[in-house]
Amino acid sequence: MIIKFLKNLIKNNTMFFILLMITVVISSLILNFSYGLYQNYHTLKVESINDNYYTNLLIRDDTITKGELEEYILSISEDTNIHINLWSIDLYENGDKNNKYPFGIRVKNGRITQSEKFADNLLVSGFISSGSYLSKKQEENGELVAVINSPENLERLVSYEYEIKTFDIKNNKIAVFGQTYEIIGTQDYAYMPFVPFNSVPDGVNVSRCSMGFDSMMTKTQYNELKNITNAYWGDRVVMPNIKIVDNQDIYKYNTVMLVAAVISIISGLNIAVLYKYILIRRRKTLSTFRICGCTKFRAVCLYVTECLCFIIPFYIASAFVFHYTLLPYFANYYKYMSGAYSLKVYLVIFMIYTLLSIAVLLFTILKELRKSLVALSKGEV
Amino acid sequence: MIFRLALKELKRNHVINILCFFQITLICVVTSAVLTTVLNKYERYKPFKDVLDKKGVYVDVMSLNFVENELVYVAYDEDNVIEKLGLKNVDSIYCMKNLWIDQNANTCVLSDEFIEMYKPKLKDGKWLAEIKNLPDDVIPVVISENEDNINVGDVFEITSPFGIKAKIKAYVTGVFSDNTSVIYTASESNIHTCHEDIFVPYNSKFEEKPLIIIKNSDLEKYYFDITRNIYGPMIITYNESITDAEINENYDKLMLNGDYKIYSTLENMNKNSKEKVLEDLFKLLPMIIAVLLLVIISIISVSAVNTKTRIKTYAVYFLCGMQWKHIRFIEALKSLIIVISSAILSMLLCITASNKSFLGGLLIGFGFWQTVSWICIGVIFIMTAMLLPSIIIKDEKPVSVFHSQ
Repeated sequence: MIIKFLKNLIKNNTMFFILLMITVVISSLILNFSYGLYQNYHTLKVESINDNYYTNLLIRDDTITKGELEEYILSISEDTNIHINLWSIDLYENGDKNNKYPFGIRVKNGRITQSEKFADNLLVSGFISSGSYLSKKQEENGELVAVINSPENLERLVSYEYEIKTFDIKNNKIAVFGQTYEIIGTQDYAYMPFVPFNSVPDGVNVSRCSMGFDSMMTKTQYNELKNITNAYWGDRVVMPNIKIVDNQDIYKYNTVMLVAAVISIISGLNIAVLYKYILIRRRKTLSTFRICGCTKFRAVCLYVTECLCFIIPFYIASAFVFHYTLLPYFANYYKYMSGAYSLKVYLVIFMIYTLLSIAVLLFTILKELRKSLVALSKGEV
Repeated sequence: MIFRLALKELKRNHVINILCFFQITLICVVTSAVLTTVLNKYERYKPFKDVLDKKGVYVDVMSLNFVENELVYVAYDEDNVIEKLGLKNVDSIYCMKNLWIDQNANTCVLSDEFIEMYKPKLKDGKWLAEIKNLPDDVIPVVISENEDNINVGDVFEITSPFGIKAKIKAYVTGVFSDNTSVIYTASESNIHTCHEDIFVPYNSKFEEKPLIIIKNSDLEKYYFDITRNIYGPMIITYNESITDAEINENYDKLMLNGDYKIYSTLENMNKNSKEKVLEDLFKLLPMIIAVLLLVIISIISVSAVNTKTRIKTYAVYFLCGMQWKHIRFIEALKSLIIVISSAILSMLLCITASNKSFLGGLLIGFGFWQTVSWICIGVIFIMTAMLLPSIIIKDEKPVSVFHSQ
């Protein structure tokens, strides 16, 4: 029956069929494009705002050690350090840069301690799956305790091609940095364990270091950090320049995000208008079916399936065209666009599109079905 | 009669017409947003276009000195630069001056030409170029958002740590928000050697003090003796008659006597500016194409559906003695009513959206080009609505149209 309906549409309304096909294809392309556009500008916006709160030190030397970094951090004035609520650091041992140990610390009263911001984020976001996270005291005293990644999570990660270091757990203890750490909890945040920064030997290498401020970085703080970084590291580590974001750029990002959302809605409206026409065309057929005993439910199923049979193949074909031909081209214009897509994202966009289509269809079909059979058979509007 | 029929048609087919109304409204809003975003890029270049077309140099001064009797003096004035450095064939100099006064604020004095050339977006009040009739003992200033809550209409004194003769009484005519771009010294992290280096976003929280902008002629009228030095952006234009040798000589003199963040010929600066504007526009091109495609498809599908659903009624009108041209006129009138109502709603939406706080600030405006684009959309929509019945019906007779429906 559905095939017959479709054949009928193609035969008797060729122009309309072509229009419907073009609309579905364009809607699919625009929906996928607008998602990427939105993500790209959202990332740009977050990045430009964060520029004034976070800064990544540019490490240009692989031989920088934890001991040197600690000395550098402690050489920063108390006035500035008190506003840095997170030093986010990655360390690695034995030249194995694939396996980095994450740390979230801050300086208080001239001592390295736990970053409350880092610990709170882990706890609030539910990353601690069992046991507890490192306490302030354990961090400050450099106790030999560790919070490891949950074994189930690690198993899943190891199944990927990425080389992940695994640890032998003996008597609830693991060996890290040549020392034995007692396991006090598990987490799902990083595949490498959390251990107190103060427990790590000074010779371990640093791969990343960034600092986060509790409020916008000031020129005095920036100048101090720049001077200390230059004096302490020379060319080995560089303090990046700070960029003040222009309001007009933020407005531009907001506008493009809004445009991306609105063009998705317009695409949806296009389809809704065309569905409405299909239903008007089918009024007489619908009344005949109903007189012959077709239930409302069956009638709804019939029309929804017909429309979906039409939409789904064209939608999927367009999504393929978008991913393999248009996306590489758009990546030249929007640097964060290609990273925004995954199979899951495409499926979610497709599901949203299909569900919205079904919702629009149901609304219009049920409205049609509420009319009397006489009105339907006359084809009245 | 035809108008009444058009209204009747609108009422009869209300679901599709309402969908159509919202669609056209959204299309107008999106077109307006895209156009404003695109125009915004050009509008930031436009104020500097004329001066960048001339022969000359652009420098962002860190220090500009000259030696006299083995003593080093700072350059503090436009005339001072030409005379003491011995620049040749100079037509004009626009610059920014740093006032060695209030420690609690950054103070920049801009050449009148700069003030006329570029107006920053103000949160409140008027720009210095628009100020007339102020009391004699005050000078108008524009200030950035500040912790002291100094607002438009406030009068405050700028004190001097270097003991100037009179205190400056400043009258605030305008306030700009943090992160608004103003003519100020370029941020080292973001130098493109183009027009965008002339104005930079200022943030009083980062700078730890507000910025006070003063017009040069206003300051000199009352406080001529004040200590100042040339600092930040400076444009030197040459007379057309300048020779290459003189240009090189001027270049050497400037380089020998100063340190600069940026040094570029205006020609190079102009070339880079045009490239930057085009580069930014190209980044928006895929979005513009997507919106155009959507506009075309939407208009065609809406018109096609409208015509298809009403064709039987039109056949009846025809059988009752009406001509196809009258029917096309009904369609046009119906579309015109939809377009006008959509335009009114779009205008209201655009005015609401242009409010700075709406959705965190948007680039949506309603001006000449936006109106032109809406008229184009309206005309295309009406033309399609008028032409489609003819295309769909082709040479068919009304009776056969009636039967086929």
